[in-house]
Amino acid sequence: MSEVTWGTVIALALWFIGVSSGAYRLSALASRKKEDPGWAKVGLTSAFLALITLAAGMGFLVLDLRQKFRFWYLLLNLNPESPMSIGVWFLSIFGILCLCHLIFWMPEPWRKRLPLIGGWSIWNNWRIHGYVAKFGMYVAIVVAVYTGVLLAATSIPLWRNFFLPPLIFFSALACGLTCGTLATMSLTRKIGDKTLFLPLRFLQSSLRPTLVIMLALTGGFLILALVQSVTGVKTHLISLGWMGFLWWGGAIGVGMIWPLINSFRAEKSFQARAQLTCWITFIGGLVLRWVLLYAGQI
Amino acid sequence: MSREKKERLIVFYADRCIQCHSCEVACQLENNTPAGIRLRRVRNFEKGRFPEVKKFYISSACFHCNSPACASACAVGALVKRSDGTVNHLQHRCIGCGYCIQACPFKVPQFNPAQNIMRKCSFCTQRIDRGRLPACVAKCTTKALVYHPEGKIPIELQDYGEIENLHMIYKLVHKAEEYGLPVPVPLNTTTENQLWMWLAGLLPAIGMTFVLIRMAQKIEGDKGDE
Amino acid sequence: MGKKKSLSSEEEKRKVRGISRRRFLKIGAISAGSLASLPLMNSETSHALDASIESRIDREVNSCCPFCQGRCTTIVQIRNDRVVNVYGNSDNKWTDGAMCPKGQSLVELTYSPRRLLHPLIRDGKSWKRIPYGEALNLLAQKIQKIKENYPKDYAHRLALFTPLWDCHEAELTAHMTLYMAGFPDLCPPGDVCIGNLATTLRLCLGEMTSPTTINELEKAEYILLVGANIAVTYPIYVQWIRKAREKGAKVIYLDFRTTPTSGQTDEQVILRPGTDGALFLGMIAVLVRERLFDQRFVKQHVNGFKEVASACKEYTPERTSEITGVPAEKVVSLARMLARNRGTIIWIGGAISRYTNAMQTVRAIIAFAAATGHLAGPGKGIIPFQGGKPPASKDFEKRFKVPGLDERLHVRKVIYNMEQGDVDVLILSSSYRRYPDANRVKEAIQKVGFVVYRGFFMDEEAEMAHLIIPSTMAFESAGSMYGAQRQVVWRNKAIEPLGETIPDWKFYTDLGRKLLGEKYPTVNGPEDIYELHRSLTPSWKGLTLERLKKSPTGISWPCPAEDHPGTLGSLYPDNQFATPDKKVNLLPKGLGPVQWTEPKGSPSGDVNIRKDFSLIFTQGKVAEQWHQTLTNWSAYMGQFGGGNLVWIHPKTAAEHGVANGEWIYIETQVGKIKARVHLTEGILPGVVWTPSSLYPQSPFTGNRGMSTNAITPNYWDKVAAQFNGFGCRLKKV
Repeated sequence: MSEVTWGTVIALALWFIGVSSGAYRLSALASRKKEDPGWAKVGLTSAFLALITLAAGMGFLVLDLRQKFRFWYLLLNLNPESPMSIGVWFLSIFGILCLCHLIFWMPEPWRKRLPLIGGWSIWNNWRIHGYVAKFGMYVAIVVAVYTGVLLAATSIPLWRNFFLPPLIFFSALACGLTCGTLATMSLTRKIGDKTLFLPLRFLQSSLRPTLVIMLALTGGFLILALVQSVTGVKTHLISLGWMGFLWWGGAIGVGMIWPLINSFRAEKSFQARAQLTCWITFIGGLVLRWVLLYAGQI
Repeated sequence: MSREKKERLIVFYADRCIQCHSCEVACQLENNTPAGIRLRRVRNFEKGRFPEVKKFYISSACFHCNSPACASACAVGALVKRSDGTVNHLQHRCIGCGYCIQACPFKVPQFNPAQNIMRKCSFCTQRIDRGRLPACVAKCTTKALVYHPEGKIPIELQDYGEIENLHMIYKLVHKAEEYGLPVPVPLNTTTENQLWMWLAGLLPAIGMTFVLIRMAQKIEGDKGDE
Repeated sequence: MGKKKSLSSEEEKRKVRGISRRRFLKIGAISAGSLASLPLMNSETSHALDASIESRIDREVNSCCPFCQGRCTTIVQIRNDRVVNVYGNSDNKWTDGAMCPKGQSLVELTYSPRRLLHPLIRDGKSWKRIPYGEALNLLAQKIQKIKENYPKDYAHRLALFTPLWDCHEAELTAHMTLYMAGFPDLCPPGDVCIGNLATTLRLCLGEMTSPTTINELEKAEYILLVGANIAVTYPIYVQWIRKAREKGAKVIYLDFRTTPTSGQTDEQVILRPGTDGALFLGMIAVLVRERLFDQRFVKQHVNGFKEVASACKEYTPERTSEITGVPAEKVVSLARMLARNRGTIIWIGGAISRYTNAMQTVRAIIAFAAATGHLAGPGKGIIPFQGGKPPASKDFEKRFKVPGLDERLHVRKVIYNMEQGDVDVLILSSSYRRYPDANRVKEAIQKVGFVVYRGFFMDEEAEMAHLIIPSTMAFESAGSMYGAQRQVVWRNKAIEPLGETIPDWKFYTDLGRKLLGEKYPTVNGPEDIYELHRSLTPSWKGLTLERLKKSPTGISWPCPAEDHPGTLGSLYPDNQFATPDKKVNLLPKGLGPVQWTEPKGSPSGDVNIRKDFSLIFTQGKVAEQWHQTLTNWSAYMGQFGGGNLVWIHPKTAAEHGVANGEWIYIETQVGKIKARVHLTEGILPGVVWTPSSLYPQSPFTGNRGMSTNAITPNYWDKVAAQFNGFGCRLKKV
């Protein structure tokens, strides 16, 4: 088991897809509150973000193929037994939904510039946007869980863990929420901007349980792995080698505990540090996936 | 109990193997894989102390499972189970995603950098369909590898690879663990695990989504209070 | 059209996969939901696998592996005039279709991008291509010049280091050409290798070849492998050992290492390298003391047993045990076991011949077999490692000697002549590193005025040459070959030679024509030479070309008539040996007294050596490598090698402070080589072993390493050299 089949590219792909699904969910939540300027900003930015990160994620998936120009073979076949096949199909649907969702979010003048479809009146239909957002939310859930099941339904002992799919899902959620908010904040350029008050408050209150659950799932993951005495857990994750350092310090310390502490701060001071919190949660998600990938294969 | 289905089998007699590497090179020449990519591989083990030393060998390739995890995992239908029990790989379909490598409990599939796709033992289908022996069996110098086209082998030969599950049967001398074989014989991890993995992921995910929706609504309410 | 069919086979496929699959399908249907209605473009159960070679073969040619004397007949698969694969011929009785990796490497080697395909001439430090005709002219001129410069004593100024010929015709034409031109010095590989054993067999039993064949193993009750690591040297014959064991034979293996052969035997007796002779003398002493020997056989068929018996007296079980390291009780029980049975076959390994006490050892083995009465007959006899050259070849060669031609010089004398500058032309057709103290031989070759290299790759030998005329590989020429079971097989030509490579028979006949003009017989192909040789050889009379071409197993000589099936089994069925008085001669002239001496340079025999070089150095083969010059150029063979690995017992390693995987120097009296430590429990403490097949120019790391003979001291028995058993020490790098 010395050869690493899936490396950094796959870690990036899984991470981007997770971010995309989380950002989509944030944007879908925002679509219910279009009237609030802060939510509106968040909604538009994260809809954009969802599409871009999804494209990046799928791009990395294709990049990892040894036969890159055969990627479309994936769409010629449906194997209901293969998480990858199911996942690819859901990703494709999710991609279309992401695009539609973004167009729904677009301000009128931008939309008008789109060729062909830009003129359709359907984009102004508030109710259809609601349905798309709602349906997309479920597809986004499947897509995020898929990135976990893809690893868990293999024979790699470290990945064959019931806590892995939910862990990856919650990590994707945290990454998506933080990434969407972060992008909005960066675009508004004013950290103290009051318009983002509501979304930031939502971020604080939603991040807290998400991170707590993530920590619990991580604990469960480790305990289950240890109980099953999976090779590699002790040598790579529990020990304090460089892999253990990345795991405890990067994925758990920086990616979960630090933002969790931040989220317990008073509302105002949380908002002052929101950008930092977002960054560390976001990066922590990548480190988590990277370490899990490598620790399973090395 | 012997197999009633007309399925192909290869039996490996561990006591006969001398690690002459013939089967490995035979496999490489037949499958046109470059040096270093061995679809059949002989590994050696040493046990005991001088002068009571035992050296033993195992020649292993794809087990051609009855319920192949690789075929379950393959998203493009490049891995197929034939009715004669062999698991074939359609090279023109393979996209080289590597998922079968992760799925296989025996770590059988390998990337071939010369072709940029995955390769695995195909039971030499192209030869057995013409009534010839698989390459490794044909060239085995000691008859450690024996081919049974009808799938009928005497009961005393059954050893590793519960006969109903695999198509490479190992008649071992030492314990299976000492040859680095997984015990018990693994099942199809992809299909066995997948449902529960999906449930483990989806249930909390849907739950959390409802919580988030509630939360978003509540925060709005708070603002209204202000 | 085929859609329906493929769907039903798809269903069948699913059924096979069983319950877990069905259960999953339900779930799949739920989870896939609406996607299920998407077009299912699933695969057909394909029969045609794209990269398979089998479906694209144009023709198959019966051929034969050119390497060891197992002589696996093969079927060469050809596509577009290119060899794509080679399989063992399943009709071959000796191999049953098996084939070891060495023969398979030829598919790669023939088309190696590194192979030399055109004659090259040295041009300063680089090489220049010249046409074959020109190269031949140049060589002929050089040879003529010797005759002009030394009109009286030119005979020893040309030498040929012969290879293990890739066919018998090559060997015959080389002799024919050089003998007719008046040059006797063809130095065969046997001079350093099997010569000790072959000569002793000839002196004691009368024939240089194997006294019996391996099909007799099944009839034996005991099989004694004397250092014969068959699993590595003749992997295809292991199945005969298994068959014998299945019929109840007990196999005892004498070796100081745990090898793949150990697992195929019933019992291994571990003894110190180079002491086999003492063990056999000790066992003879037991037989004499307990009067267990076959008195009738000894009286009727053996000369000199009384002398042997009295010489053995000093080898009491205790003293034998002291020498060999085998417990005294074991010596006694082994002797009793091997004496009281239906039949014992003794299989002598090649390494036995590569000690300075080799001829004593082989004589002791023959004497032991004679004492037990298991020297000839069904299920009895001795199998040496090589079948050896048919005696008749000598007659053939003599026929072409110019009148008054000297006997050939031994290779030691030829090397000495080179050092003195008395050799003007050397045809180097093999590795010089097969000689002990190889660096000295290298220096000697550098003093030769004109060196022609007949090889395949730009190796160390090529770099010393002035002219390179590359050879064909096995698939590119036809010819007959003789094997270890005295069988003769025919190899067909499978493909045309690549580039300007020239088969040996053509090279030597062309050279003969150039040197001798019309006097040289017309040869149109190897078939002509084969027929010429057959017509001169009584024991090969029946081996017509047509018969050979039809026989995948080969026919074993003696075969005096065309309807004779060939002779298997014992060469001396009625205990009529081939010596002048038809008796086994245990005291032939030149073999010296019956005794056992320490191998020269051994640390246990020489206090001075023990002081500095306390470990015993040994070397040997690995299954995937053929000597030093050829298979090392194969990437397929290189993937198994570990470079210079030296086997050391952990106890020895601890005493010398070296660890597993560490780079060390192995030092002997004549030099040192760098090697990596491989700790194993499977070797006698105090002994180190290293593979001898490595090669410094190999492009593949697994095959690359220092040549072991660079540190082999220049010790010789009466015929051939010693390669094992001398002292060495380990030094950290």
